[in-house]
Amino acid sequence: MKRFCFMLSLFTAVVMLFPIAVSAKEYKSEKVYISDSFNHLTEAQLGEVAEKAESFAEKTGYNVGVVITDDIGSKSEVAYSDDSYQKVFGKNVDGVMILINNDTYVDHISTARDAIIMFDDRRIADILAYAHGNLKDENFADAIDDILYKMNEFYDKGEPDSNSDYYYNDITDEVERKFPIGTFLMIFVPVFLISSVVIFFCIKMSYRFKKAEAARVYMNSSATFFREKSDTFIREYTTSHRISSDSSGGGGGGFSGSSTHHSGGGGTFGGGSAHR
Amino acid sequence: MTIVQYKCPNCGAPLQWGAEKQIFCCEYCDSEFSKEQLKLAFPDIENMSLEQTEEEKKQTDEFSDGTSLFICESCGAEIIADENTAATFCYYCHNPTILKGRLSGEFKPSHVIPFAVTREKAVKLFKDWCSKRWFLPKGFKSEQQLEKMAGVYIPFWLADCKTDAKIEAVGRRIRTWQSGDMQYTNTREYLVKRSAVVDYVKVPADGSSKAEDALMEAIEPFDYKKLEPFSMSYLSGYLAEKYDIKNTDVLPRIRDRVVKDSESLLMQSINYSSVSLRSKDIKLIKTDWHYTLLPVWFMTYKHAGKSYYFSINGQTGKLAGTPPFDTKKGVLVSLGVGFAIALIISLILVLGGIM
Repeated sequence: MKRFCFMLSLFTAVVMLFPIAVSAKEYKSEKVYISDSFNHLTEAQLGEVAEKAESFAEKTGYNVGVVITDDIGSKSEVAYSDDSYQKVFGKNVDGVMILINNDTYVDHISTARDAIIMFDDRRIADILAYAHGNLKDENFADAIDDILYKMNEFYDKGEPDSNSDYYYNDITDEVERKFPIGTFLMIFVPVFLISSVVIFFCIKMSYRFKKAEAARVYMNSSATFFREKSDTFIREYTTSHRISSDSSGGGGGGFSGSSTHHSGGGGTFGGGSAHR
Repeated sequence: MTIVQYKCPNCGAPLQWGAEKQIFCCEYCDSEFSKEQLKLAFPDIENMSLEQTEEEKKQTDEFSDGTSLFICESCGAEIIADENTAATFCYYCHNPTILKGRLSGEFKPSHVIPFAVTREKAVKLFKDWCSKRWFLPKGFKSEQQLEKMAGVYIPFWLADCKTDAKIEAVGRRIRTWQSGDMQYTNTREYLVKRSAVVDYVKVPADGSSKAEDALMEAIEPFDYKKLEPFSMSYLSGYLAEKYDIKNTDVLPRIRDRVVKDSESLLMQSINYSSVSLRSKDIKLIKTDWHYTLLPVWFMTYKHAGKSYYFSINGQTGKLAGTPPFDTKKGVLVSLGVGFAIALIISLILVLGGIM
């Protein structure tokens, strides 16, 4: 009995001395998933974030995932973010995954399906830039708030011009270019008219009366001779000019559309990263 | 006699020059005669003077417009011929008829190239020519469209001439290269002089106002190796004309052709990146004339109320003329091909992501 009590006390002391990790905070609903494995958010903050995420999800119809972690293991942030989204919401379903990466400090936003079109590379960069301050200061609740705010703002603006020619193909599960009918007609109509006219006149010209043979056919070569064939050098001169430099309009590092990739699970994702 | 008609010694039917076999043939008894045999059979005709006697002239009724009336010796019918016709057919008995006196004196040709393309072959050549032209109106080349077809010996002036040609030009040899961001152009200029005597043999020009000059030039050249000393017998079975345009009147046409060709010959001897002609002096220095009859098939096709004229070289078969053009068909084909081209180019540019 004494021994038992001693052991119990010792156990209690050890437990009290070595705090056991409280179970990770997590929020899950049909369209929202928030994971805070290392308790960076308070309960209140988690609640606020969840509420805002639910509001965004309801407005846009997108799934919203938020993962705050101090350990992404051996995966890259892109793979971790993509796989997290796919694991929670499934493959190729509209939505976004916000990865706050306290391991390598490269935060990432993954986009899936229609969200790839809505949030192009430039917008992702802008979103992460907007939240950069809070991310750097590890005010993660505010950072998530910033991200959701910016996403909401962009959603209200509609699809970016860079992606106006693109759509998500449900059959191939790829972001594909819409057939630019306007551009096509702009090329087709003038080429059609010009080529038709040229072809018509070529055909008509072939029906024109063919002229006579040149008199060369009557030339008597044996009785024809050159009396003079002289080439006298007059002068020589050299001119020069500068060749204009090649202005390769490389676009100065600007963004264009959404770059996409495939996750390990086979889903198609867009997105972007930012280092704190 | 005012007219000459070659009759088959065997059956008395008309004898004609056979273009295919290049001998004289009788259509009725299929007898064939070579030139030498014909001379033996008709020594009087072959050796007779082509000049009309005074009595013959009296027998010929001349009208004020230049046409003449002859009497066919086969059937007695009256043959009307204009002043330039030298050989024709009797409209009643269809006997080939050569009009004596029309090819005499200054109008007597020195040579003739006999017909080598038969009427049937001429029609076939024309049909083959038409079949290569996809935009002819439908039914154009049917037999019913052939309004008129005639084999005619056309009077030609053949000129042997020389030109004395001189040109002076500046030739430039240009070389370019790049060094860094500079492009250099080196130019070497040369004074180029060319002078030549160019000899031309038998440059033709038709001497008949009835034959369209452009059409006659378009069926050139004739093979002059086949020139034969003139004999009336070659005209039998064909029409023939004497000249009504003198050699002096065709000289400008011939001069233009040979001068242009001489200049071209000299320019072709200059080989530079660019050539600027400074002066040229090309003169015709010598011209000798030959008056010849050359064979031509004339065809007139009628389509949609309009007549279309074609000529075929009666020796080589070369064809010239302007056929009608089916505009509707041409437009449809142009639109179709244009559509295909535009579609391919547009798809390449759009799908290739270039636009």
